[in-house]
Amino acid sequence: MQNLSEIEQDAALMHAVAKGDAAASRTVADHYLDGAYGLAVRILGDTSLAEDITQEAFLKLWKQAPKWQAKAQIRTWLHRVTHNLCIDYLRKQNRYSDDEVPEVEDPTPGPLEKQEQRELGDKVTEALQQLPSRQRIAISLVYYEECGNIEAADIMNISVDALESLLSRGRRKLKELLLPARRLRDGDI
Amino acid sequence: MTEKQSADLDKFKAVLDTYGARRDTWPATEQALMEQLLASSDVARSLLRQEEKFDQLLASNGPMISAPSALLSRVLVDAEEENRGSIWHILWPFGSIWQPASGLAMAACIGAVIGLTTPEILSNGDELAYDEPAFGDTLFDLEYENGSV
Repeated sequence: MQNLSEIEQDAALMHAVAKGDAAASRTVADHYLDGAYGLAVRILGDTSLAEDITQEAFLKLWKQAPKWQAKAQIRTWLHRVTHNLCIDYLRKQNRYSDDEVPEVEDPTPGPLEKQEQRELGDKVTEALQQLPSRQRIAISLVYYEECGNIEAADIMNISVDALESLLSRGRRKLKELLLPARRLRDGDI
Repeated sequence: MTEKQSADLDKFKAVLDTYGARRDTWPATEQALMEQLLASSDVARSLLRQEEKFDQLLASNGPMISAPSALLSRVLVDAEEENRGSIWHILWPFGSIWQPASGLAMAACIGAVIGLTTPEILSNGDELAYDEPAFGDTLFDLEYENGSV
């Protein structure tokens, strides 16, 4: 549920941004840049592209500042714009669908003790990229960007039921993909 | 296990499958049922522990990805270019404009008051100026004025 006082605070901040207040722009960037960039990286799987998309999303935010109304939180607005820009890009590349990405065999041998954590992180990143786009976005929003189910559904412009279905399928698929890594971490093998 | 308990556990598992083990992400409508089952059912607690392990694995991807500082700079430059603010802000970009503006207005008022209340100074000064020799006058000018030439 959206917090009314946060919406009002965000509106005041955007009002200051529109008046050319550099400190307000800096505050907005400090608070929301990492989230928007992280979402773009997880959706696209490409840091350089994610930088361009995030910059574009923020440019839209700055342009919106003089017309900003106290109806939405900056975070939700930015996530929605970032999400839409990423989807547009994936559509142009014919990479946006519900189809699963073919699994790529990892040829690396069993990890050494001190590399285990990094390798697990790599495996999770790899597994996320193998999910269909919409499942990946749903999981990125709810688990990593810590959006509530209503906010995430709003950002993706789908119903909460549809979001729950994407989350459930995505999580199940991740479990399948990560089962070997999970066993490894738990010391089962 | 009764039919209701079984149905509740199915619902419990469905919520875990969708939202994972983090309680703050569970839908508000299901919170009471989830807590009740966790308090009363070993199966529910076991299911939760399994999901917690999986959540830890997901978290190894890193909950936060930090944007590069170059991106922050680019974004801030865009902000400055896009919203320059009013003409006053451009003329006086050092903060609030009321302080220098009021100082200027005060100085203008004082000048106007002095000018209006002491008009004789100027008129007397003008008359004197005609009679007195200017510094730029030459010796010839002075002798001419005295009638010696």
